[in-house]
Amino acid sequence: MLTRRSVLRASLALPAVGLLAACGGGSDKTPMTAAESTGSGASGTSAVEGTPTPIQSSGSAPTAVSSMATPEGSPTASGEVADVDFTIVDGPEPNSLDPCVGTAYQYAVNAIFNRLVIWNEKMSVEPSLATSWSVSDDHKSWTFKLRENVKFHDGSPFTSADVKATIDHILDPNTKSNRRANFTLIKEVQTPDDHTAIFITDPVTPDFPFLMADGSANIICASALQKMGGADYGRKPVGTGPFKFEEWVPNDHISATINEDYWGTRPLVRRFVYKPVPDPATRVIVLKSKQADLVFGLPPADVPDLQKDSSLKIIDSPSLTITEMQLKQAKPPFSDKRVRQAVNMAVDKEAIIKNVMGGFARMLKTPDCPGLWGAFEFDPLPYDPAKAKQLLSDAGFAGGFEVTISYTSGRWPGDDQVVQAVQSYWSQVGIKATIKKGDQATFIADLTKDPATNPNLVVMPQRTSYYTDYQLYRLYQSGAANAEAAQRSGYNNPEVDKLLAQEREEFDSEKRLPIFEQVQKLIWDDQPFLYLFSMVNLYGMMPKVSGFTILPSGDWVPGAITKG
Amino acid sequence: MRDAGELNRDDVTKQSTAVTGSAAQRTPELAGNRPRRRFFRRFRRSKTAVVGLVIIIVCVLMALLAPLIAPDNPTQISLGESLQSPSLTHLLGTDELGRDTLSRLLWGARLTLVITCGAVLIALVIGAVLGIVAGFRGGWTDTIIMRGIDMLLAMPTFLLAIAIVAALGPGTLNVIIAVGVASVSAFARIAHGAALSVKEEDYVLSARAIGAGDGQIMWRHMLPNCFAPLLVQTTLRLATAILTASGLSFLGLGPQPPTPEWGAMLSAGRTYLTSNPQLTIIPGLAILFIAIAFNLFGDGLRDALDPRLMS
Amino acid sequence: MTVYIIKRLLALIPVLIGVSLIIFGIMKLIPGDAAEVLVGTNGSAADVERIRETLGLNKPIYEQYWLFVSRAAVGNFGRSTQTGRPALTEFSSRVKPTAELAAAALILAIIFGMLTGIVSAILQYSVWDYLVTVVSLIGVSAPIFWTGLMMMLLFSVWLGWLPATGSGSLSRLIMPALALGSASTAIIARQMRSGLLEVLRQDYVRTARAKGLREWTVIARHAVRNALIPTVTVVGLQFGYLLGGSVLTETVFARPGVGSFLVSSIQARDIPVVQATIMLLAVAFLVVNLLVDLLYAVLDPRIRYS
Repeated sequence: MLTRRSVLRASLALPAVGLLAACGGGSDKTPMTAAESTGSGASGTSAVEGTPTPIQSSGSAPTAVSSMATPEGSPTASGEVADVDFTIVDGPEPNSLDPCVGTAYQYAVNAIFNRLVIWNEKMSVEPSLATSWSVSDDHKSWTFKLRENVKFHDGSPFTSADVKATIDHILDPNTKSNRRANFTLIKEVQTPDDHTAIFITDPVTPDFPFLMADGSANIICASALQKMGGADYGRKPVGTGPFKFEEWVPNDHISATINEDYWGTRPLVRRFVYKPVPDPATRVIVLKSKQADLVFGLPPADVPDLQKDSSLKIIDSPSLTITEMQLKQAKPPFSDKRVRQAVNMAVDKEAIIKNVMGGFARMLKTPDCPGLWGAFEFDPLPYDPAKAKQLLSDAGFAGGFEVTISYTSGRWPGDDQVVQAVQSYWSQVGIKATIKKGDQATFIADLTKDPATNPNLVVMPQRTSYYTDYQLYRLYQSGAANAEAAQRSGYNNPEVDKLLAQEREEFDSEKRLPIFEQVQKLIWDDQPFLYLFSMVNLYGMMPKVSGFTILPSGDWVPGAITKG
Repeated sequence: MRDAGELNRDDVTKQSTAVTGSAAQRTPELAGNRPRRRFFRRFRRSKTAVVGLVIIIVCVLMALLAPLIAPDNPTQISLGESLQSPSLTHLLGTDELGRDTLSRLLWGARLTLVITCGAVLIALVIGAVLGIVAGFRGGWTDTIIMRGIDMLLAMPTFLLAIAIVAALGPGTLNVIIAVGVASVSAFARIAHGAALSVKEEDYVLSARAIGAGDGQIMWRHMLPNCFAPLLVQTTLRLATAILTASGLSFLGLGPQPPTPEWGAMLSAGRTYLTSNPQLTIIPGLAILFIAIAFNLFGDGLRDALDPRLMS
Repeated sequence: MTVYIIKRLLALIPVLIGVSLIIFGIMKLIPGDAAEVLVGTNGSAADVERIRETLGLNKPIYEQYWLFVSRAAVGNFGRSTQTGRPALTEFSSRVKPTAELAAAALILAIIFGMLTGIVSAILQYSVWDYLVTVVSLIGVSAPIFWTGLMMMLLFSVWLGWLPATGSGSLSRLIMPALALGSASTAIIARQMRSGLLEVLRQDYVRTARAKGLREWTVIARHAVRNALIPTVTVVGLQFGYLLGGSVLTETVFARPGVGSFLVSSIQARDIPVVQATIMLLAVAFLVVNLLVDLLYAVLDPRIRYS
């Protein structure tokens, strides 16, 4: 496990080193030229480490992948089940354990369900309930071969009908799946036999296997769903995973016990318990008083203190979650590129990362999500309030302007402080920001407000992206902005739209990369957001716990956990 | 039915202060026309009440003089100095954004007192007007107003305040409104009781006989009559209001950052409870002290106005 | 007595209608749109419209109220917009920990409050009396959430004696019950003390003493019983305070229950659940008050039930 993690860290560190080298070469440059210089030099840009081929359209790749029969590694010989509970503590409990709804925490869902394919630490996909897959020559249909002799917890066999039921369930408006929009490209699911599922998509997408690795696409049991109905299924889920759902006491715990008939690696603990503790400070107390085996979402400020405690293991691992501020830019002031660059230069992001986030965050150097295949890094704009003032003055805002920063508090430790820090930095260049700390509803309403009628609104969401196309399309494609209500910044660059359309139809990964690079360069130059940082997963555990890994995707591998 | 119902209702009135955190067990309706000198003598005799008053005065001074005595700008962040322990430069240390805790405490006194007093003032004005009008008019007006008050009373104060502020959205003004509206019923009942008790008194009847208008009677005769019990209720309510308001702030429904306010400071500091407990302890102590002061002062006032309690 | 009870029950109906009107009105003030929350960041405008339709958010306001009241009367508060299950189910599945907490806090408050109050009154102006006065003053003046956090810091972090969060065992109930019950304890103690002091000044107590009864008998048989009457009312009213306070207590101790659920539902704009929770808590409060009135009537023979 340790090796996996260090490999991962090394892989994330690599591009940064390359970038440093590039920076060393260039002297003080304006942000625009800095971006250009990185783009031109071969050493300056580097695709973030990872399998450059998400999935091959040719026949060879699926077979190659399918040789890895069980994604969690071969069953361990010493796999004796310890008769113990494994207790995980994290933030507020999910509304439903129906994975298709898409609001559940991965910890519980990963224990109970399986997907057709799963993410690995390099953010490419590996077989799970599907053993291999291939795409047709016209790229319109994807054929997945399904694992045989897999049973759901209620004893019913896993077949292609369950795959179809899962997609139907996501697309059913009554499910209220929050990822529904991502799945509407699936026009049909064909089930020629029990162990083959064929997906017809329109438009075509080279990233289809990634969609099947989405947390919403965990395979649900068709017969159980039909019997119970969606709402009850979400309270008493039936899956194929290593643990069987046991009970859910609201706001107290969700528990699952070992699935003796599991098709993959048998878990090493008898029972899995998830307890919701919404407040980060309370989670620290739970950890310190050793009332859980593993505690997620530690506040960065407490970590140095916790690290001194030798009876605890504190782990930080990269995540694919990024924090930035969306600037509504259909109208002035943010429609002016100079203003957007100025708001980025006015904020000392390094100081925020160091002092507010305790160093447990990474500065954003790409409009993509760092750590993804196809993400290219550029020089971030330097902290330079004088230059920011100059840019504002050039843009006709010498006297500054007023904005409102809307966010919802308590979603991650440090959010209140980061907003206040930005407010303070902006005030030093004449931008007067009012903080609007709203509940989820107000926040979502602000996030989706029309950029044309709300020009002075800034919104701070946190987003997790699993692949480059997903991130770029939903954040920067001008049409997606209105249709999907995911990004309403009003960012509109026809050149970016054109390139995104190109990469979406390109099934050759090698040819996709240059397009990705070009489009990201364009976006970085535009600076449509206030780019802050990418998050780090911070969690603590009892020293006797081993075998726990959390992937950048937020997934974890339940089968390998032991408790000493 | 009527007897029992009325008795019960009046008892709720009497006890309503107790629900919310004071031990006022009777309405001191006798006190209104006592000579002033005797009041001050009694009040001074209660050392605790004087202590309460002194703490209140100190807090008010802190709030008023904050711009002069605060060592730092309470909203000026300096990330390099975050989460420092108390030292000579920062007597109470710094918070998570490097702001001076002492300065925030002093400026916080301002907003905290404004919220508390504002809320109680709203409750007092609305409550007194509704109560007096209901008591004076009688009949349908009385029934409608007092039944409405009954309905407000049927909701626990804190729940009602949460519901209102949840609907209006978080913010300083909305907390004032929420806590104010949630506290109206206690004042309305006291004013109502006092108005009823003097309605048939000779001086009211004679005022009416000589042609005094309704407004004049209510203003000149009824309001002074309920002045004393309302004053006591106001003071004791201040203690409750600060606890309710800081509770709302604690839940994130109060004043928004970077505004310094004690409940919000406590709520922000809570994130650092194990590593920097002083950020939680200090604003909590401040709330505790001012609430104690209001309670002491209110109790002293009540005792001074109500001779039956003096031994 | 039966007639009296029935009359009191009937009198509750207009109050309940009023409460429902208040709750419905407050919830309608809410800005933001439940449908938009449900859809989340990845939904489309069409999704929002569709959900708005299913929730009946497009109907005129009086129709929405009528729908709310007529359904609430039979326990149907609609479905939680978060989980899709009936709001009543969501509420009732969380009642137990809150009931446990409120009951534990109330029992603690009654036992400690009455005992300390009685002792203080008997030993008026003693050191003990002053101590009780000071402690109860702190009790009524300290914010629950602060007391709770301080207890957590002391007993869970520094001393490691008690678990900080959760429910289900006595050790997890102690701190929340103490934090929630401290103010009520203080109020009951003060009420008991002053009530008893007043009774002890009454003629019949003097008569009893004059008869040569032992002091203990006088206090136990005559004084305490009469001092109990106002105390019972105070105890009943504490219930409302405890319900409100449970919101803060459960939030601080990450305790499952109705209070913490209310806060998270408010944050999620889960209007059916918020309406159901506040409505049912108000009903519980009214019922308890009714019971207290009845108890009061039993204790005080002067009240006639006509």
